[in-house]
Amino acid sequence: MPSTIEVQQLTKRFGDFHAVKDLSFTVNEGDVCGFLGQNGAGKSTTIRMLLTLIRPSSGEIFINGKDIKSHRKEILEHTGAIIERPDLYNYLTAAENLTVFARLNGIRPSHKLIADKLAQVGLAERSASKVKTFSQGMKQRLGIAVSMVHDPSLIILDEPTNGLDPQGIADMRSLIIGLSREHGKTILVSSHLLAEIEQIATRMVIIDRGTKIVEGDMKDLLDPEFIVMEIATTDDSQCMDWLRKSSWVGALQSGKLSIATIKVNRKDVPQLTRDLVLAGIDILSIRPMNTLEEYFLSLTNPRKNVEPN
Amino acid sequence: MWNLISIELFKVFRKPRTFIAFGAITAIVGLIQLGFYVDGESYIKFGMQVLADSFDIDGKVLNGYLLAYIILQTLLIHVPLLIALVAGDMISGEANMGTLRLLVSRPVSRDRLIAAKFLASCVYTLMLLIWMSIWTLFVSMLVFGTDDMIIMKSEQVTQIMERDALWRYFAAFGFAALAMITVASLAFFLSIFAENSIGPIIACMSIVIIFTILNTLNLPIFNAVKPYLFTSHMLAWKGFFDVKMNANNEQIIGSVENMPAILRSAGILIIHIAGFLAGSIIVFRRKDILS
Repeated sequence: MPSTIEVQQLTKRFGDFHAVKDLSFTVNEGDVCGFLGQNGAGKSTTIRMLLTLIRPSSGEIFINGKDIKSHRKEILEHTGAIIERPDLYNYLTAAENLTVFARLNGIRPSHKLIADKLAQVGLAERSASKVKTFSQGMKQRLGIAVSMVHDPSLIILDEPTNGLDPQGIADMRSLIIGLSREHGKTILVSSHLLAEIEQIATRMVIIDRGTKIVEGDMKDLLDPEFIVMEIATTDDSQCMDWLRKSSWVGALQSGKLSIATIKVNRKDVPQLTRDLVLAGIDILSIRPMNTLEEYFLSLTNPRKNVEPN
Repeated sequence: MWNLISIELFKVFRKPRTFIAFGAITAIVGLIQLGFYVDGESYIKFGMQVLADSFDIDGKVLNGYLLAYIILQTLLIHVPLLIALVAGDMISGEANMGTLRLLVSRPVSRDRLIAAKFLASCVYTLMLLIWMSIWTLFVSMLVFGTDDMIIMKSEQVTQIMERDALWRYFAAFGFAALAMITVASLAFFLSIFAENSIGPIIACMSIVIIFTILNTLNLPIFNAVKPYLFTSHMLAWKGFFDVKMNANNEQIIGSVENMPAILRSAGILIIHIAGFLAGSIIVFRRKDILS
């Protein structure tokens, strides 16, 4: 699959501080790529370099195979973005904001195009309202419309769910999934809502202190050899006692918890289940805990990491 | 390029603060006109007392031309603040609103963006001066009528024929536009460094005030730099009201006494404008947009 974004050894220094250091990653065409990292990890700086807002200290950025330094205009014509907050012209109406940004993208938009774009984000009826009267969620939706008004093939969203209520977050999720699956857009999305990213991303890049620590397809990254299982039973203390005395004791994660968590090789899960049943333990559920959040924390905060046995 | 300029002008004239300046000029000029309409005759009589002892003066001394001159002298000192209000907001206002990052991430070069914004602030400045000229000159002419114009300066009295006055105003307003665009370009340059518009507006006005004070201080240490300060040349429009005399000590209609001085002042202002614009382009080209 051809790569849409290719970042090579990107570095940004602010004085002596390295905001981004030797960062390299790839986003393929059609990917929804989650760009993750803790606050201050360098996500926004990287995104700003992708959008030519910040000049890299060194390194290369290629989008659709073209160097952003020499093909800036051409690349940005096919790129839409929301950067941190959807700040728009508060003194203009929704339709006027959309018109201004369409024209900045070289499009002379018809009334129909503006109406359609606003309808896509559920703002058709507020077309003539000034943005200063909008809620945060409405501004975010208008921001999405602005980023898509020129029908870009690459959409970059920096914390698009910031300030949204649960319904707004769900709407944003649906919108991103729709843009990817129905319209074939390539999307790079940074967020601190890992559960959201887990639901929409097909690929993931995690950075920490400006450096990449992992990159890959979600299905590969969240399907490692070892998985942490949570075992709920009708008598959890009985289960814990049995596990402590069994050959599984080395895999037990915490003896203090009332519900057992155990880290095992994926292929050993059927044997564990059989042993529990044979020991007379009534199992209510065995649930894998390999969520993105757990994975993310294990990578970015080693003190909380649970090393494989 | 026109597309970009029209977008910038659209934004400028949709912003409420833009109209503060137009409102302020209307109010100030209106108040001065009202004052002169009610009490102007006695004010002029007092001012002409010395002249009246030596000359026979007839006709309308207080006419539209004279009033326009009086208003221009007063207003052109304060208009820079109104100019800075918008020009100082051009980049910093976008940074403050958070729209600068959206703007710069569009497929438009930074140089063109700066040029469009600068030209939009020039258009605003010109429109403000046109508005000012309508109220200062044309409304004054309408209300107070026209006649020969008598201007009293510290060392001389100049009488300008009625038929020789109007073009001098057009020239004066043209020069004033150049002076105000210099202020606009300074405010615009300063706005690139700030993330809210208060800083550039105050900084611009501070520079204008400091330079103006330097101009008034007759100290050798400052005299060397005075010719290079743009504020030294902002009032050169007054030169259009100095008329050349012929050998018979008669006015030469359509003449200006010291045109080279006016052109030199215009040249210095243009150099300042070019310098501020070039500085804006260079700084903005390298600026990391972190707002």
